[in-house]
Formats: sequence, C-alpha cells, structure tokens
Amino acid sequence: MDGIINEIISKNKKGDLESLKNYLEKNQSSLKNNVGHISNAITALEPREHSMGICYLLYTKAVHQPDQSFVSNVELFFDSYNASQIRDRCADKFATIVHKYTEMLRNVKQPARGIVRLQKIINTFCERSSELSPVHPDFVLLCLLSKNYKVATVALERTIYDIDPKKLGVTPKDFMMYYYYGAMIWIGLKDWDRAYNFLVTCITIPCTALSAIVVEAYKKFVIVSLITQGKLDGPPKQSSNFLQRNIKKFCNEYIEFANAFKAKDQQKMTQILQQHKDTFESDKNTGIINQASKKFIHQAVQRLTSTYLTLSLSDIATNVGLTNAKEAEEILLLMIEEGDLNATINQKDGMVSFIDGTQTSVMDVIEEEMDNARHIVQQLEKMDDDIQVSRDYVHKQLLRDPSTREEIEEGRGFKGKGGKMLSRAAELFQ
Amino acid sequence: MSDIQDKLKENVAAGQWGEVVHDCEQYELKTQMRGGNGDAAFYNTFMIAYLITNDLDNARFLHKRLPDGIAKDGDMSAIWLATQCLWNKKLPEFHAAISAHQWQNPNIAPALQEAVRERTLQLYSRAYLSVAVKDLAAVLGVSPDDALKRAEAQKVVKKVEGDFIHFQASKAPQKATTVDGVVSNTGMNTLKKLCNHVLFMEK
Repeated sequence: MDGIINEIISKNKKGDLESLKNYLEKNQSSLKNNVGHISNAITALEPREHSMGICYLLYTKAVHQPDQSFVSNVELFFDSYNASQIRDRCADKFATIVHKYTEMLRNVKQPARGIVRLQKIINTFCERSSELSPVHPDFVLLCLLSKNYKVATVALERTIYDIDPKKLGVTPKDFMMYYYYGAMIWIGLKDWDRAYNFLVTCITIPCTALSAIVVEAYKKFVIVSLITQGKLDGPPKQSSNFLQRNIKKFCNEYIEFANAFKAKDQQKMTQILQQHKDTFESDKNTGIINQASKKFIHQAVQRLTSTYLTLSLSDIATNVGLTNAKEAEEILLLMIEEGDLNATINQKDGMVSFIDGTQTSVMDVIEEEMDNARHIVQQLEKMDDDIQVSRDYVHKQLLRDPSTREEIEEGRGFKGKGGKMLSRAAELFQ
Repeated sequence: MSDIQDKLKENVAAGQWGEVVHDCEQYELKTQMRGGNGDAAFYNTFMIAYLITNDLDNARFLHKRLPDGIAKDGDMSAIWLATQCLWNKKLPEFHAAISAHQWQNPNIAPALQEAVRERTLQLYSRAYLSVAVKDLAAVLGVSPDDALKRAEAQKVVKKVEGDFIHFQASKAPQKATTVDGVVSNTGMNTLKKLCNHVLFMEK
C-alpha cells in the first residue's frame, strides 16, 4: 500500500495522470488485498491534488469492503475533489463510489445527509448544465427518500442534451433511473406535463428487452396520460418496437382502467379499482390513480364548456355524475382556483357562466412554445455539426463513397483533385 | 441556531414570507448534511411560512420528514390540523382550528389567518358573480358584517341585495412585458420576438 501511495504522490507531482491511471489499473488486485488499510492510506493524500488516486482507493473499498468509515471517507473526498482528474479517466469508478454512498445512506435511513453534497457534485462534475451524469439519479433518489421534493427541481428543470458515457461514466440504467425518479418528483408536485415528458423519455429508450424500470415507468405513464390528455393512445411512436409489442402483458390492469376512462364509464372505473386494488397498492400507484379519478370529473366539466355558455349547478351535477348542486359548486370553485376552468358562479340563481380563454393568454402560450422550438432546433443543429466532424462519422463516410473506399482498403493514395487531402484525412481516421 | 432565529424573526416581522421559506429550506439542508435537525420553533415557523405562501404540497412533504417528537409538539399538531383543513378546502374548520388553539408564539397564527382570508376573498370575487353573505363569512371565519366590510375594502363589491353580495366582473390584468430589463407595455417585446422568428426562418 505504501508503494501505491508513493506512486500516486510522485506521478501527481509530475502531472503524469495517464501513467498513474495505467499503474492503478494494473494494481487493482493489490488494492483489493489491502482494502483494510485504505482508510488510513487516504489520510496521507490531499483530495484536491490526488483526486484520481483517492478515487481508485475508494472504488476498491466500495466494491470490496464498504464499512462504516466509507461514508465519512467519501464525504471528505466529495467536499474538495478535483473533477478534472476524474472526468475522461475514471468516471465509471467515481460513479460506483457515488452509487455505493447513496446506497449506504439509504440503509442507515439518512438520505437527507447526502443531498447538498450530491447537488454540489452535479455542478462541479458536469462542465455544462445540459450534461447528464451518474450523480443525477442518486441525487433525485435521495430527495425522494427524504421527501425534499422541491430541492430536486433545481436539477430536474435543466434540459439534458449531452450524454457522454466515456467522459462522465453515465450508463443506460442511470438515464432510465434519472427520468423515472424525476417523473416521481413531478408527480408529487403535481406538475403533470413535466411528469409526462419525463416518463416518455424514460420509456422511449432504445431497447431489445424490457427492464423493470421501463415497466414501472410505463404504468405511471398510462395514468399520467389520462390526467394530461384524458386518454391513452398507446406507447409513444418513438418507443422501441419491442416495447410496443410486449408492454401490455405487464400492465393489463392499467390498460383496463385507461380504456374505462377513455369510454367515460365511471362505474367501470370504480369496479376496476376495486378489483385490482391489491395490484395498484403493491405498485404504490394508488395515490396517482385517485388523482386520475378526480381529473376524470374535472375533464367531464371541461367538456361541458364546449357545448354550453351557461348551465345550472344541478344540471352540471347530473351531467358529470355528482351527488348534488353543492358538490358541483365545490368542484367548480376548485377548478377555477387551479386555473382549469374559466367560469363564474351565480349562487343566487344557481347558474354557471363559462368564459372563453383570453386571446392574450393563448398568444403567450404560442410564443413560448415557438421560443422553445427555436431553442431546441439550435441545439439540434449544434449536435449535427458535432457529429459531422467526429472521427467515426468521417471515417464511415469515406468508406461509403465507392471512389474512396477502394483506395482506403488497399492502402493506396487518392488520385485526382483533393486526393492528397482525402488521403491525409483517411490516415488520421484509421 | 441563534443566527437563523434572528434572521427569521426579522423576516417574519417584515412579512417577507418568501424569504422565510428560502432561509428555512437552506438551513434545513445544511443541518441535515451535518446529521442534525432544527428545533420545534424552527419547524413551526417553516410550516406556517409554507401555508402563508400557499405551498400546501411542500407543507405536506415537510410534515412527512419532521424529526421524531416534533410532529406531536403542541403548536405543530395545530398547524398540521390547519394544513389538513386547507388541503381539504374546509375553510370554516380551518378558522375554528386556528382560533381554538393556545399558541406559544401568538404572532404567527394571525398572519396565517389573514393570508388565507385575503386569498379566499380574491378567489371568491373572481369565481362568483353572487354569493350568500353567510357563506362568504363562513369561509373567511368572520361575522357577516365583517365579511361585507372586507369585500368593500377590496373594492370588489358591485352591490348587496338582501342576503347576497354581488361582485364586480373581474378583468384579466394586461400582462406587462419586459424588454432588456425594462418593464414595458408597448409592442417592443413582441417586435423583438417576431424579429428572432424571422431571422430563424431566413436561416
């Protein structure tokens, strides 16, 4: 162990991090054999200066002996580590440390302890706010477990464009968990549109097999679709063929409920809720299904606005299936408060007048959507440019062109105009 | 703890409840990072601040993560009962719960009641063309005469006819737009957006 520590210190002094990385990779078995001494060994190192070395040590401890001192060791490391030493070199090992840290906080029932640290790591480990790191899902998970939903929104509100497994060690599981946990946060805060977008992102990951995460996300997707759109149109078109063909057999009860919701059959919905009560409870989806049942009533009231300008409270109660006019009045007041309905109630006459949405508010929404679309197109153009100059793409394009493919394969130089340039490009990309 | 208490007292006295929420959130996260928690007085102020700023979702989550023992504290159990009444839209019960409890800190409960009354009156004046005075008084937790006086002070009353109060038709406020940090009601912001769209389409 002393030899390893000395090597870490000396190579860091020389700034030879690549060589240090190779050395540590080769000596992983030695680290494993000395895992009991790692806590003491770390005290000889400076987190800021020797971040990569400490990362390997803590990784070994995370995998082979995550004892009680592991959490405090990791917290000292997180408080002053140097992210530039970790990125591109040992990001996958850093991810393992973060996951194990989160798991241990969960086991000792202290999830709130890690929130501020993981939030700080997201800001330091990622160079841009649009990057997804393996820290993101663990941060959101700790917020969920500790009921600190509002804190998680700071990260969830950032739009993710950049996913770089080599640079930041993010895996497909991290991607799915981030969007699944994120959807649960938005569901808790009743931001149904964002919850829907997060669930769509989670279930449209390309796949040739169904993961448990996608199955659970799809169950919530069914219910959130009913809340946001009043119906379920099936899996999103951009989801994989495998999911589209096979998802239904894992969530039959939810599809049944969605069909009854779409058919506006309140009695059937109640029957399905009773029949599959145990399934919904074990999936922990009872709360969200109750929200969908309430939204069913609200959507029924909203449908009346397309037919009537004024209607009595008792007629609203009859049309929507409520007990009496008083209950209808309470529901209308709630909808007006939440902004789901533009109407005024004349309690004296027992009449309700429905009002159209103002032109100003519709135009504001259109302008906001156009701004969002313009921003997204600019991001896509930038991503397209990055792909066009990437090594793999240029090499593939050179191979595709019949006039250049033969020369590359036979190792001969290019002929004709621009031949020297193409020849040089082919050499660079081989 | 004393630093945060002084800061909270200052903001509570100034009625800056948004700042109170922010300071409480930051303090709670920092103490939890060190494995600690705030005391009962801190959490009471925190909960009340959420209720005054009408953030019932986060108030519920705060109650779920309260440390052991604090949830059953005298003032906190009354605050939680009030939260449940607000959540279930049972406003007469809310006012009854607030009035019935003997508060250790006598300043915060009146602030909460007044905030709820103001929000309720604004909602009713927006949602109703006419409403029974006794119903309005019940949801405001005041006498019918007091309810009328409050509505007249807000200038939302069109007329009072028998047992019913008629509200003025509410107008949607014209949204002020901002151009380079200067609030403006002219079309400059719209022009700027249209220019951006045209440049984008030309490209």
